[in-house]
Amino acid sequence: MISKILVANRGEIAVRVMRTAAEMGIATVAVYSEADAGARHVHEADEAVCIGPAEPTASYLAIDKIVQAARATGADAIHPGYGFLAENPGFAARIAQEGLTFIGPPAAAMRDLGHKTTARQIAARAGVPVIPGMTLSGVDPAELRDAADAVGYPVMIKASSGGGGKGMRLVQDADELVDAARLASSEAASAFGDGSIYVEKAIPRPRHIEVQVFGDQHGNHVHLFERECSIQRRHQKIVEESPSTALNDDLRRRMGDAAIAVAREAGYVNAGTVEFLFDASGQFYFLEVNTRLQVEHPVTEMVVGVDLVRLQIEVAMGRPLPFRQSELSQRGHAMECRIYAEDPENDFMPSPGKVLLVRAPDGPFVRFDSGILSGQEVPVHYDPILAKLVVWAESRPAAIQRMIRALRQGVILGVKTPVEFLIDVLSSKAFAEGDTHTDMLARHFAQWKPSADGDEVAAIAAAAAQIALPKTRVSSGTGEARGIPSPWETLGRFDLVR
Amino acid sequence: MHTKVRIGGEEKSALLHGWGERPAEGGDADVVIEAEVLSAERMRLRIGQRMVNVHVVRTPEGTWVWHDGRARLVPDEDTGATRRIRQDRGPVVVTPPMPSTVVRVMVEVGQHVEANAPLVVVSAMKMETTLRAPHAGIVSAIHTQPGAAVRPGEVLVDVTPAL
Repeated sequence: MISKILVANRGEIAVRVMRTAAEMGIATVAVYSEADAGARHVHEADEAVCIGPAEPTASYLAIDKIVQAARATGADAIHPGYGFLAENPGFAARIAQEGLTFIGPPAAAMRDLGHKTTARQIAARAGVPVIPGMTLSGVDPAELRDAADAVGYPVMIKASSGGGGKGMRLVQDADELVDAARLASSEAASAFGDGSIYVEKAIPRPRHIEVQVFGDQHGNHVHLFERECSIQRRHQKIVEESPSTALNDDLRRRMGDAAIAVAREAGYVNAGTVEFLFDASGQFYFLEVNTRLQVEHPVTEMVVGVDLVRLQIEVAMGRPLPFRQSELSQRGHAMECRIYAEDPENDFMPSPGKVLLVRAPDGPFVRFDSGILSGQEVPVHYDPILAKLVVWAESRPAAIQRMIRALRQGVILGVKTPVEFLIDVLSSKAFAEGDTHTDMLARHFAQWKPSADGDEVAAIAAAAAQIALPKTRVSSGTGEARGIPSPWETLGRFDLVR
Repeated sequence: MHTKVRIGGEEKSALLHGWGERPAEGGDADVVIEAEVLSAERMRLRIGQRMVNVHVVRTPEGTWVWHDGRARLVPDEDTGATRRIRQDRGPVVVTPPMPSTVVRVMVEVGQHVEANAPLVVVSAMKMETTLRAPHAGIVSAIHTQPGAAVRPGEVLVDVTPAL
């Protein structure tokens, strides 16, 4: 029985996990850094503990402080969210040692699947096709050349202990190989503390399709179908959807079975995602397993009709999965857009600052998972995800229309976001046709600019606002808010007669 | 009420009225606008024949406007606010492009540097940016240290141009 969950995370995912806990009558504990004292996840928790300064290593990654916070509040379970300590086997093991329940997989499975070469071995044992590749013992040029020749150019060099595009390099021919390998290795060493790399055949124009899996503590496994994640920018996903336009029922069943086979072979428990690359001939290959709940999990929730966090908590409590594979199906079409504090006009550089105004879009089957409130500062120390906008509709075209409408009607002011860019991507012919490959944005949107019409309307609106609305005295920087004038001071027509 | 609007770099004249108070003749203004304030952040505008609903927030840096998925920060005309550091005065300033944390200071006071030499590495949102010497000279002062939180406009390193 779990009675109090400490969420070892922040932002939108902490808010999302705490919502389900509250629905289940489970008390919630938030942890926060000094930079997050005014954050939404802190206010929505039953209890909150400050665990240190803004720098992640001193707060959200500080295992001792998190354990201390759990002890101090009497929490009996920890949910790690995504990022931070979610895929840290040392953390999972420590939580277990402390007699607390870790809402996630066992540390051993996390460790095995977290190391890319071990994960590939597990997949191979499970009978799942693996991208042809070779592990390496170092960055010896001769070994590198032999491996790349054996695999065949073009090759991808990847970090054994990493993900998220770090330590990854595409190599077209032997000339680039050694330098690329050295760079990849040092990037991996600084990002993950481990510089070991491996060589894999590069799949041309791949689609990135992942399968949600779930295991319970009684040896049962199911899959909850796929998510199409090919719309990416520099290996970061920005639009996800389900079902994938690339799959028919046969492929879907085979990928689902493959994902379950990997989960079973690894002794996996709780929520996980098996990622595949899909080539132009319809062949799929195991890529990696994410041993956590993912950012884009709401897409699965909307299309299957399930609360994955609730399922995580129930499995962690020892309950068996409440359904068999045959009882699960996809219905309609769901889509998610990630909204980051980034400036699409400035190469998607982070756009920190204060969120002056946020209004969630609404309407039927519109879901806005956000970690922000109006007036909140977006700290510079963390991943700049502000919110996820998720929609469901009866068909893909209807889902696209709903997403565009919701993107237009939601409001985020004070920091730059890629909303306008997302609207243009979703409105494009390539997207409508389901031409979702990982190079889609690079091919069709490399020269994107915000619209001139948008500039014109804004200039006119600003001129009108300067006359009609008093200044709020809220600075976009770290100035204190002196108060937004109340609607009673500004409603109605302004008086032109002086 | 007459006012000015800067569109596409050009200044245009605008005639602004309360809702439903459009005059019989538009006069010779480039743009005719009817406006109604609906709340502290919402306005309804008619620009010519076009109906526009916007959210706005005014700040010292200018007015943020949201319309139909498009966000813009429009500098106030009368303040002529710009956010660029004027670089036509010496000593040359070295400043971060966005609020960041200083990771490393690569130079010492008195050190000669070439143009483009790395001076300070700052980090924001897991991205590291190197601030470089705009031209050759001598590091005359360092105003920061690793761990400091810095903002655009703050001078981190002074480089006196070499004669």
